[in-house]
Amino acid sequence: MIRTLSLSVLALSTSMTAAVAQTEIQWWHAMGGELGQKLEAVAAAYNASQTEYKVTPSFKGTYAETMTAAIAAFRAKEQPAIVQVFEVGTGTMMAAKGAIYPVHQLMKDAGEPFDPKGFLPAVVGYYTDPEGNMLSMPFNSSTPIMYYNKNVFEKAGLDRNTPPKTWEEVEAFSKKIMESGAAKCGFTTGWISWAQLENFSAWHNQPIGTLENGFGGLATELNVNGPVQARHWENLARWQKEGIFQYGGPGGGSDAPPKFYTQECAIYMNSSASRAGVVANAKEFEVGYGMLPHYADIAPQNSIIGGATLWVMTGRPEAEYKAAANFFTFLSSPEVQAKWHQDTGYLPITQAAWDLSKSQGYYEKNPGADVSIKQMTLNAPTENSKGLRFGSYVQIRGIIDEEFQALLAGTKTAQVALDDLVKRGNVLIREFETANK
Amino acid sequence: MKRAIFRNQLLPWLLLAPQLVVTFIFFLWPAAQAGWQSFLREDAFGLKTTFVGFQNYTALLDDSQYVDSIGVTLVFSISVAVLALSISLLLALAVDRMLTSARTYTTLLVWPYAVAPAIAGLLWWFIFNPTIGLAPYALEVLGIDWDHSLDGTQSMILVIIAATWKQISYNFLFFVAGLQAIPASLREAAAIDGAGPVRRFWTLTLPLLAPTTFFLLVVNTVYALFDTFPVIDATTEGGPAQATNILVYKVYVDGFLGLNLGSSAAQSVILMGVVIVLTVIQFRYIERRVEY
Amino acid sequence: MTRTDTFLARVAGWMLALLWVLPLLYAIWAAFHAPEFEAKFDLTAPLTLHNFSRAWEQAPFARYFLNTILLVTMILSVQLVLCTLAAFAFARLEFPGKNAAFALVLVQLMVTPDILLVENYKTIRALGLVDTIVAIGLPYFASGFAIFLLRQTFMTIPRELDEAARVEGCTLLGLLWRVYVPLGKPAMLAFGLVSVSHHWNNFLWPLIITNSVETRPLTVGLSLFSTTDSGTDWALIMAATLMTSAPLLLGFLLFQRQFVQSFMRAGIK
Repeated sequence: MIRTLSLSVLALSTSMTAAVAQTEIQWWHAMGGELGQKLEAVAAAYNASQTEYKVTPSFKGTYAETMTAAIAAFRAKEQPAIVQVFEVGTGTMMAAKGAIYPVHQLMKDAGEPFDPKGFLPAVVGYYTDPEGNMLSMPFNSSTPIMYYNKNVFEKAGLDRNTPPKTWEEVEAFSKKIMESGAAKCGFTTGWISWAQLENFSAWHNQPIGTLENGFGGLATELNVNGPVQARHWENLARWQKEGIFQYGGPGGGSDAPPKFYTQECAIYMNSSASRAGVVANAKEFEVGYGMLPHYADIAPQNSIIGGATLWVMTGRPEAEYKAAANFFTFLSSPEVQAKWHQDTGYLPITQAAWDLSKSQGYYEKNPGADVSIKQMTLNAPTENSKGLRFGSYVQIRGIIDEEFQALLAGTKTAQVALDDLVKRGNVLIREFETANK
Repeated sequence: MKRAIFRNQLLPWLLLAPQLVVTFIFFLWPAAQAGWQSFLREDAFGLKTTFVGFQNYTALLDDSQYVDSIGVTLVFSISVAVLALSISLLLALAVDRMLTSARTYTTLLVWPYAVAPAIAGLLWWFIFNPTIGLAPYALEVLGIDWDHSLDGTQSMILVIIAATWKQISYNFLFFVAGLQAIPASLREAAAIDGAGPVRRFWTLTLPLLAPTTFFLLVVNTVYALFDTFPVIDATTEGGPAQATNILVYKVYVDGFLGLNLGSSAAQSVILMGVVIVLTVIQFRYIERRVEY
Repeated sequence: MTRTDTFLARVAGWMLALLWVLPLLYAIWAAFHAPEFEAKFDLTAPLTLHNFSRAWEQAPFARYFLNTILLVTMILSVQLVLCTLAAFAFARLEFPGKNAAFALVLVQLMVTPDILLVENYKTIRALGLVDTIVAIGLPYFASGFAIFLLRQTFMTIPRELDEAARVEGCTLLGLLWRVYVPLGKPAMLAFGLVSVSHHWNNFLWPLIITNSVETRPLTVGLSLFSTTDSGTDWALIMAATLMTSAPLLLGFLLFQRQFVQSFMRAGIK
């Protein structure tokens, strides 16, 4: 509070002494629809809070399109000061040393107050270099959680308030649900790659790649083909044959949500940020929430995040960096963060914002909204569970989908599919290493 | 007289100049840059560049996925071009013979062209969605289990339908325009000669439509090879297990999503080479038979 | 053909026609019903305009409409003028280097779209045109496609007409205007339709080269509704799609009147 107050005093004094000329910075982002409107509201609130700087948000399409636009613009020397990049682009951005202005450096150079310890480690860990420096500003982060249909559970004779905790329970519950005729299928999931491989590995404290999942350097290699992952994929394939599990398609799995909304599948795993969408679509049943399941013989660790962060690009006039730093201070203030978190369903990025939301009674009014935070902060992240950092990861996600499809089609066993995806992924990682050395 | 010849020599270039300038700056120059890029290894931001010779090309030919993708592209492109051309020609001929309902049919046939390719893909994705789509429901009645997210053949059928659907409207328009250009006197003469509709088609209509057909053949080849990627992106994303991963989609995935610029430039160069060769063949061997 | 045959042919025809319009019917269904009915075809479901008002509120569509109309008009008029001139040169004039020039123009059709983005961005920036409507259209002012089409059409025009006009003392422009443009009209109409819908729906280049509401076309507004982390809202997407393509569909209706009419006249003559 004192900080905000002193800040506004500072802003007031500078606005009185400095010239009226406002420094405008571009903020390219990938938030469409209602999220986009909320993002614009954040920028508008910032612009109204002071007169020295102006942040102009500009929608640049999907995450991939936004990143390509920023790269094209950078090569033409027309880049924005701030660009929003999805988590799988982190490896590419970090490797582009001459193109990015690390956030910790930016805040220091601009003399903005900045305390990295105030951020939730599970969130910023993903975007921190091996020395513990924050490279980009977390903005919208989420983690996969479990949604389930309470009405179907009840119809099947299960307790409507007890979601399955382990994969063994998922199987048993699903069988009961199907046998009772309460629903046609047990569960479905969005994001095979993100939820059923990356997060599955972190949640079971299994490595995804060598060198701390790639945090340790470009020489990393995938090793996500361990026995635990193979067991899970083998089960998924078996469950799919038995009808317990229905595949939702590649990428985000756009076939999955309708399966849950139409009550065909009783359980559904997807991003915590889809909560608002799930509630809006679940008109005829009540939604319950749970953490991701784990295998009974392995204690759950913590889940990892997805979403995007804000990167600052080099090559802009000096004044724009002062503006960007000042905007980041505003953005990470508890009030702004708590509002963003509550409005959108994304995770709060600071402890203070989480505490503020608690004290505002947000989680009592919105049951299930804190499952994601609890799951993500269940244990202190290990080197297997702080995230992942590989080059060309967008394509590797594609490979994960392809190998999973080969598994479901019955042309490969789980172990072979995982071995093949590791092999193919490593080729891309090596290419990336040589291009960025 | 001399002045007239001078003027005539300059005239064509004056007429062409704006076209050539724009084409050069916005198409040929980037294509040349891509050619250069295909010999480089570079990070996305262009900060570190190494000349690697033909390495990007040899890497592609060693990649079994790339070789598979060529086969997929062949099946897809030939099916789309052949289906889109033949169906639209049939439809155009049918409409050409109609007097009363031609207008309704034209409207009906042309509207898909007003829909953005990505949206067209989305719509077909929805119609064939295994859970909520109408088509799988209807197919189930016929005993066919539809799940294009796992079955490669079904997935291919889906993208062929969606891509053809979009292109039929387009071909139809140009066929109708071509048919209009056939003088009525010629048709009447043929009818008086007692030629039946089938014979009239082969001996009169088709030869006279040849310039249009040739134009459409070239354009459809280009369409199937280049412009179909939004449809693929919105329906199958190249899956399952690369069953619908056509070359242009691979260029997009590797270059746009993967930011592997060298490889994607090499793929673009190969693809452009293929299309240019195809077009040259079409001009050499087919245009010769076209009488203008 | 027997009666049953014709009947069966008709039924089959109607089935195909139904399949043909199914996507449109679906889009209309989803757009006019509340989101929970997007996968449930309940005929008694209440109709609503709510999706349209929601879509309209989420983006400055009025401005996007204006920009798009400016854009497609600009592109089409420049294309028609420039391409008619060039196509005439290719179809009717003899000059050294003609085939090479034509090949260069055609190569334009064969450039992979992905490789254009970065280089053209640089060029547009060098011209100082980033974030303008002209920047969206400029690379498309030359259309290899239009030149090819008009060349094909012009080549079918009898040379006697040419000579007759020349004997009457027509200048080149006069000749073009009096002979080639009227006879090429169906092809030009068809091209106009294709060009307008293509640029009406073009997405990636306008998205990359523009940043502000004042310059962006409708497709960018439409893309605001594509899948986000919070899930896809089909009803909203379909409403926005119908809204953005409605003027185009209306244009098509007007156009096909013209198109079919000139066609009927040709038939009567």
